[in-house]
Amino acid sequence: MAALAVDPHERSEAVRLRYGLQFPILCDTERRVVREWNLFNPEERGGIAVPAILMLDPGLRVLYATQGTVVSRVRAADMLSLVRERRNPSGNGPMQSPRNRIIFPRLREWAAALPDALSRRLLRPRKQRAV
Amino acid sequence: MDEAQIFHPGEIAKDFALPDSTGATRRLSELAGGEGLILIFYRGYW
Repeated sequence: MAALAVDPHERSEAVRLRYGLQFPILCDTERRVVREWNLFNPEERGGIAVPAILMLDPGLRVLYATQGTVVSRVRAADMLSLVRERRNPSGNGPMQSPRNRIIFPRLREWAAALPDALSRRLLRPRKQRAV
Repeated sequence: MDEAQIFHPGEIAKDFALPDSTGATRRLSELAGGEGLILIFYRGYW
């Protein structure tokens, strides 16, 4: 498994260490691959990657590809099922490829994201207005 | 919701090399060698 973003390598390395990721994060800072693969979103923050997942065989043949949006992605559990099915086919016929689902952050995720955003000064508490 | 296809199953992805977050150069074909690869494009961290 590998991830790819256009972030500078310091930021991606911080993500890797923060979450203890066991796979590399590729840094497409020049937006070369995202442009070539038609996964470039020029509308936001100087141009970023469109969320997408590809499953490739060792010969780089595409086995599965999906493109997400800001609010919809293929769920990790669905990807995991796809990988398991490929490794140990259940014999129940071809598996349905996972599809995008709308993301509804859980309360627990909001609870984790808010202090994180505040500590990194992404959100600033509104100053109290003088009365 | 529209699910535009970037690649179609069966297509061969073009190989590339990029630095990873530690500065090491990684080639797609090397990452996929062996068992294959799941490659996740994400919007970034901010």
